Amino acid sequence: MVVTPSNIPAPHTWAVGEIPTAANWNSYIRDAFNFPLKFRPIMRAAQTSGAGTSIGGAWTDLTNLVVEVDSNAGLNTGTGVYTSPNAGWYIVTGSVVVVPNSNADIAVRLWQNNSFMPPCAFATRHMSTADRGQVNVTKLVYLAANDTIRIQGVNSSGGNLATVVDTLESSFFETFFFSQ
Amino acid sequence: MATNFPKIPYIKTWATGQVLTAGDMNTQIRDTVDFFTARKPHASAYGLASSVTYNDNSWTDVPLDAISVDTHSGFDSNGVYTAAISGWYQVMGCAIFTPDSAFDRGVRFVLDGQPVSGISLVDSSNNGYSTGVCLSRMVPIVAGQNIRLQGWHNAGHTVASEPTGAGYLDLAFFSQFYSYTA
Repeated sequence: MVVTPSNIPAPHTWAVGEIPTAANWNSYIRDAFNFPLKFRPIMRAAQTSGAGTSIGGAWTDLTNLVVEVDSNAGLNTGTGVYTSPNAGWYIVTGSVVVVPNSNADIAVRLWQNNSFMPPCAFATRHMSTADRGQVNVTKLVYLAANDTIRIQGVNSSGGNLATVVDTLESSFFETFFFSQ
Repeated sequence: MATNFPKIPYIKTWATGQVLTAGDMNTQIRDTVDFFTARKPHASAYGLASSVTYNDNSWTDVPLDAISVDTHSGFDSNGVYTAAISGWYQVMGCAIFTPDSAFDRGVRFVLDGQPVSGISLVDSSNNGYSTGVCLSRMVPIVAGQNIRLQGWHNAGHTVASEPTGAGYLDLAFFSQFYSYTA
């Protein structure tokens, strides 16, 4: 079942003498419990295959993601932009993994609605020659319906750094609906 | 923003032959569903104009002076969160340091004065960038306990927090303790 913005069940206040019908039993009890149990919007994608992203010296969108789950079809896998299906608080996690470099700082951030929104969820890391560089961030974020959010990365090497495309150690992007 | 009720609906055990009342439907069904969907405790505070100078090799509270959401009025003006409901919380935090030379920076959570196991640590070079260090942990918090975010570094000199955003501390309630009874 795909949850759409119209079917987060609304609380129903029962009146004295009101007889529960099958219809409102299904709406206000079955559907109402099913939503928090298993129908909350969730998206999980990673660069497990495909072209990856070339992370530049300016903030660069994490693109070319492969979906593992996307309950509401909110993610544009090419651009890496997630569009919120329901208004509410989401737990959003992003990670960027790039190929080894001898002297670069890399950073990741969450970017909402094409603009800076304090607080900037932001993490950095310095890289040495032998190791892949990885940074991740997790944040509670309010998204109105149809708000967009994406993961961005940047590096200080003076050139571009490719993200790692890998089944185990790739960059990823997750959103999970927490609460209205 | 409305403040949610600081309680969790308590689900009673039904008896054979018990008549279902509107009161039961509202407290046992409506309020329970409403809690799961919209009223679980959650809070987010961040540094907007607050800042701090971190001494060398000394864990220091990250000042958080702005609030995005605080359903159970847990945050004080310094960004210390006191829980109204016992349970497991996903705690998410980040401290942002001003650009400086190469050294390590870290963050941790402190629960009622005791460090929570698990830190996040990064090194960052002198590339002119601010350095953000983030950490996420599931933390068991008892009602009345407080939790805060602390930052650390080993620069050998003082380092300032980012003046336009010292960091953030977010909490999301996930579950009561298994042994909880009302």
